Amino acid sequence: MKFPYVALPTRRPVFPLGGALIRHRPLVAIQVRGPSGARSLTATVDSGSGDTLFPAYLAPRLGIDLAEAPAGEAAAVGGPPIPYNYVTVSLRLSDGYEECEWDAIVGFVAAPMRWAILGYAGVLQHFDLQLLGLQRQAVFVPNASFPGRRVIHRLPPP
Amino acid sequence: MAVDMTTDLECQRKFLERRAAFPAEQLARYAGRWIAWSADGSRIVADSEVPEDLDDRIHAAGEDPERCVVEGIPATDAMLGGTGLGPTEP
Repeated sequence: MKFPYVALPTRRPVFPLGGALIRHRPLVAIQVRGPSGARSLTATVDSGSGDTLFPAYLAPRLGIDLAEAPAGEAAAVGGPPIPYNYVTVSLRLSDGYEECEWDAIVGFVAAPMRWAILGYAGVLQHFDLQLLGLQRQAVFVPNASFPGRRVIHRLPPP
Repeated sequence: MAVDMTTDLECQRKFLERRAAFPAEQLARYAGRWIAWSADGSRIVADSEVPEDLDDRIHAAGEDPERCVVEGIPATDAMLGGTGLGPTEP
């Protein structure tokens, strides 16, 4: 599956990018499904993150009760530890040509999140990932550990 | 809600194409907010200062929250590790 980077605006020219007024980021749209609902949101591909994280406000909308869920904890760079709760959900990634759907244990964080985080546990462990800087494209290929359903509906254009 | 698979895949292809091609300068007005894209990426259905409010605004726009894609538009220029965490405002 191939996902083009998305462009985000900047407030001022970005010096290390030759004064560009945008930054491109490997963001993908992922669907997360619980017992009674689903939502799609933008997620950042983060090889530095140990866990896959979603915002806690989504949990009740997916039919998930976080009260009894196992606890985890992480810290962003330079930030304090942030607690979260682990829950098994169904995840779905698709580029419109191929789709992958699988169950994963992810964390729900009661903290502001501009994007979900696709970290190693739950997502990146199951894919061989390429970040193609020139093409500005993230390429996900499910590996032998992929535990779910992979369907190739048709081949993408070359 | 059951979704026709062909339509769903077509929407996904269009979403990725349109999101990648969407002019960043047009997103600048949403800096510091969360937005909801239509399923095919053709338009921004709703926006909000907090993501918790988006479902209501999506419903008010006549769309289904399960079909929209929610995205935070950061107001900061550069982000380091753990970039998903944090508000959209600086």
